[in-house]
Amino acid sequence: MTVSRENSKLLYQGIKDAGIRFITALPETWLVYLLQMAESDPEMCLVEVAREEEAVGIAAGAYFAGAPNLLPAARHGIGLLHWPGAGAQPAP
Amino acid sequence: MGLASSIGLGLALNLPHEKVVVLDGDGSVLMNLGTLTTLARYRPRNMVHVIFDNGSLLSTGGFASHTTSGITDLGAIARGAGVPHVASVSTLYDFIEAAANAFECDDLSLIHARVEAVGPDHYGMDLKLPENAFRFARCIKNKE
Repeated sequence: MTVSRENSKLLYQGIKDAGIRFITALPETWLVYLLQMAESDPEMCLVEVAREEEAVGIAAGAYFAGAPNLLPAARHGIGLLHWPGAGAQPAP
Repeated sequence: MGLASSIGLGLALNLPHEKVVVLDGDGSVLMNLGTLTTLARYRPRNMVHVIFDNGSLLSTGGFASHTTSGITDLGAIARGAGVPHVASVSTLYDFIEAAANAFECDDLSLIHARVEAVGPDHYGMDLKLPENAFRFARCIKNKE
């Protein structure tokens, strides 16, 4: 699935259908259309962060508040959200 | 680590009728400085962020933090980030006044409290960790 307005529209509709009204994310290329849709949707609360780790905390707060929420992360963002050493296995 | 204020922001935006108070430390804020800019941008009107700045990473060995001897001024950073109400205090009396103002104010407020680097003999918790994972969630749920 490539990044396009049409594909992002499909994803965004799925997000809405799932009852999600709170999104926190670091704005970046793969999320452009998705975040534009969230920003222009009066039903959606979007919090854009300075660094992905922040989004983990904000999403946790939303969870504690009982709000279904989403933290989309693209490529290196996914890596940053995990312990940096987790994937560093010694060579066989 | 360092995400107390971020968790507070997520809570405050989703529980607009509750007052969310975050009790933070200088070491915690220093490892997530971007949070001050995010707080300023989204400006939750129901949140008070208190930073107890003892200039020390006391619970992890007493190492000096970047705020030691006033090298870095977290209150000034918060103001520069755009947090609308920032009080810098160093006496109990001023703290009480700042806390009263922050609670009365219907806006995002931050109190930067310089405190002494003193604490208990050890930082072990007296509750089991699995229980710790659920206690906070249960407390919030019971408030609703």
